[in-house]
Amino acid sequence: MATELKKVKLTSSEGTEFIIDRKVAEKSVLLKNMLEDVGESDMAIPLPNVTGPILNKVIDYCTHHRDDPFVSQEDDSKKVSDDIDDWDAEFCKVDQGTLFELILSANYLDIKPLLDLTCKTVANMIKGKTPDEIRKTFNITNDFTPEEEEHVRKENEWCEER
Amino acid sequence: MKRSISYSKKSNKKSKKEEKINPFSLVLNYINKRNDILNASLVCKEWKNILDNHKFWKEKNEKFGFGSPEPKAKKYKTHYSIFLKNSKKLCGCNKELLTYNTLIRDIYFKICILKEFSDNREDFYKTNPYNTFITFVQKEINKVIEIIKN
Repeated sequence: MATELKKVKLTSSEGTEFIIDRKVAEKSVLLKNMLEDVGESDMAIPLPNVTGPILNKVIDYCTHHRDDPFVSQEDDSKKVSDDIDDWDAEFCKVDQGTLFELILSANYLDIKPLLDLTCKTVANMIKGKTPDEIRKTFNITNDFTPEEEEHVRKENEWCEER
Repeated sequence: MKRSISYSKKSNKKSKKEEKINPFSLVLNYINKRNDILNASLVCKEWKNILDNHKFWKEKNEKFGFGSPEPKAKKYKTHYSIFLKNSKKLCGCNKELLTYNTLIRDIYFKICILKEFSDNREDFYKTNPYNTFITFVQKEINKVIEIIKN
């Protein structure tokens, strides 16, 4: 009860301050460890790798999922399912740039379920597509020479599933 | 800056690169179907580099006992290259055959053999290994012969 009421101060890269419940902050393994190390403190935790708008999104996510049970690393190999619930799907309806920033932030802050969610969302954009379609989707230039590409294609032929 | 002092010239470059994580290096862990991995590896060099060490190939190598790249050889060998080399070896198909042989169908059936061999590898040791495999190969060879006849 007591821990739930405790607040944590975070500062984004531009210096915007966010005050959130400790329980919400503890969704991030990075912050959880930090808070355990530091103990009681009113000092704001600086997050120079995360911008305000992204931090805002991350906090939204953590607040919505604050009561979810903690998922351990081992479970994830079993649970590679692609199902994403409605709230999460809505949460991921952002532009690609934001999505990539969310991925990096989730990775940095060590929020496994958020990393899973955002990465799965992007992975779903890759699945079932040809290399060309993928390049178009993410605006990537093909830097293979035609010979190199042919070589990779030939090699891949060996492993393809038909 | 502080970090680079303790690194040698070579790894200095690397550490600089690593500071900027490419989000795709995280995302690509989440594709897990063989053909998706192969398609994505044709997108660009960076993706290819990431995907050649995908856990998909690592797990395959572990399952079949193909081993993994030695830390020293990581520049030249990847989990994918090891899988490729060993699976070809297992099928008795050398590089020349792959390059010059136009009988894709031939290669395809070899893949089928490999696939089944791999899938059944565990049972294969439990029962009579030699016979199981030989009957299987014979069946596959008969199929190939039939197709060639037709």
